[in-house]
Amino acid sequence: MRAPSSLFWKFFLAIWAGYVLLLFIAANVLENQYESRFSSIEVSERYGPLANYIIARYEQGVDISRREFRQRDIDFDDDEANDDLLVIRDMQTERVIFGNRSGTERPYNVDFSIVSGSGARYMANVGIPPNRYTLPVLITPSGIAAALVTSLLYSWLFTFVLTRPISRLKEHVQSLGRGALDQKLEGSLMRRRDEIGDLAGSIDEMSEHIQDLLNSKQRLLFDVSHELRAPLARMQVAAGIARGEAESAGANTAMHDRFEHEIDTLTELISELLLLAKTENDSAETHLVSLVDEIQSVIADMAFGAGDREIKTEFCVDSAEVELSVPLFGRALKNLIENALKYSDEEVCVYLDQTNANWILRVEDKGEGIPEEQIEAMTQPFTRLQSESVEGFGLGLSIAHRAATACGGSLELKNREEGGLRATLTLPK
Amino acid sequence: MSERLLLVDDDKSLNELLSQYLTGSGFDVSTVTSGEKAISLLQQDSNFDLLVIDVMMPGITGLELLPIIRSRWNIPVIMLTGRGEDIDRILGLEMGADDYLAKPCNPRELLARIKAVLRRSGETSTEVAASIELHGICVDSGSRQATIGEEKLTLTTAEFDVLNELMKSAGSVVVREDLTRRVLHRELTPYDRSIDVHVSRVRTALRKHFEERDLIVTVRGVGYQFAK
Repeated sequence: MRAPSSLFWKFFLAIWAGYVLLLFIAANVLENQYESRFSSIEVSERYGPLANYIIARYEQGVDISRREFRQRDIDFDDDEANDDLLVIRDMQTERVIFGNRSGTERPYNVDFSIVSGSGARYMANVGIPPNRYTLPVLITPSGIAAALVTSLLYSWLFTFVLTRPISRLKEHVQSLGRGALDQKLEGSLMRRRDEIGDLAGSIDEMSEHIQDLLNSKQRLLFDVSHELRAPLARMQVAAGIARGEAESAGANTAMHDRFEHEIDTLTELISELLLLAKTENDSAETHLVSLVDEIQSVIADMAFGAGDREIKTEFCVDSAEVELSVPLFGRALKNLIENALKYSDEEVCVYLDQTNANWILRVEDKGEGIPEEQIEAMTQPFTRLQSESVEGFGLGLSIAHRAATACGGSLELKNREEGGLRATLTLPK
Repeated sequence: MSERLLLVDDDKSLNELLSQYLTGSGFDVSTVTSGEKAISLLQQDSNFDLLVIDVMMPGITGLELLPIIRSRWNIPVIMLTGRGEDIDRILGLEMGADDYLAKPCNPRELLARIKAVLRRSGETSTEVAASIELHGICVDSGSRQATIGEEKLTLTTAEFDVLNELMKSAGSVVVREDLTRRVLHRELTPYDRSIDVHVSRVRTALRKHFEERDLIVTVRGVGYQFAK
């Protein structure tokens, strides 16, 4: 059982404790009332005449027969009018003149004293018949257990009804937090007219608002990059013409080289920014494909950029059928391998493992890794290592991260103990 | 007489600049700013040696324009694809152009591609006529026709060359770099998937006749092989 940290357990324990407390208080009150019901005044009023009759007969020297007693005692027809109902003692002689309670004990019995017409003192004791009280049922072990169980079930049900919409809201907000902003709340929550319904409505509005904000941010990024491409293309051609003119005039073209290099850099940057924006905007159409084949096809593409360095692979299976968006997956893996090739001079290894629920794809390099304090930030756009000598805009891992998320998976970066970086791409099966 | 090019791009200023650049390299360049205009111009005058078409245009896009041109005129086409577009998506569309180039591109690269495509389409007539037959596929480099039995395969120039080159070396692997050089008359550049697009289209054409097996095998990271 979980520690009472969740709302469910807190509510449940509080409600149940409340019920149990209430039950015991009620039992106590009832018991007190019960006892007061059998106060000596009440009992003497009820049994006084009978006792007086018996005493009168005793003083007359007549023995009271059982039958006579029964005939008189019409009130007690439901109780076996046994010897132990009423016991009367002569106070002078300390002798029991009526009744006998040597064999049985009655849990409730009430004394009252009687002074007869002759002035002699008697003490009457009435044992309350069991069917006259119901309270002790609660106080027996089985009664307590029954009370505990019913209150437990009731509190459980009550807590469940109370906390279920809250935990559904919690799950919804959690999935919003993971980025599934387009998810809508289920109708039953929205239709509620209480505070939870209001909260659900507010959460829905909020997520729509966030979605709009993100969309417009992505839209802007995409539009800006897209719009920049046209003037860039023109600049490139203009630079080419200028170079041609300079060459035919026999002028120095060093600055043209520089100019063209910077234009190329800008072009690359814009391509990557567009890719980043598209990675989040793309509606990921998924197909059932072989994961191993897709990995190998990405590696085959990468092999051209790897030069004579090896991209090693180790797969736990020969074929892994998986439903995924091929372009998104390709983008994620390509950027991870590219990154590994960029930051190390040695071989790069790609491993495929599996757990019950996931495919685990690891890309490992033997470079210097990433300083621990920077590792978290590396998936943010434009984050680059400071000490780096390699080219790039700091968008590669960011694209990989977004593509992995868009595939329904996740990306984790970790420094290897042996040195180098391990990028772990987890995909749901 | 200089070779005639037609640029189809909605960016008017880019057309002007490119036209100036290519004219400087000795081409006779015409420009239009939409697919619709390209079609009406070609209907009056289809005497062009090469078309350069931008994929992203309002109205008829380059992707829609290409099959229209292919069905009516036999003119080589270079497609300018958007940079940042997924090459896989372009591959998936299998447009059947003679070459593909990401835009914005260096004008020198475009010039080189134009020259390569023109060289290829010009040189075909000089090739020694020979025919190869394998698995019932007959490739005649004289008439530049590929047939399976009685049926003609409809292939673009580049696609025909791919099939021809692969069948010439049937049984052994043709490295991607070599295939690019032999078919596209240029060097393979990083992330250049043009040759794969051509191979993929040939494969699709063959698959109609050989459903049960792929005659062209991909040797990952190396190249392609035609089954012996």
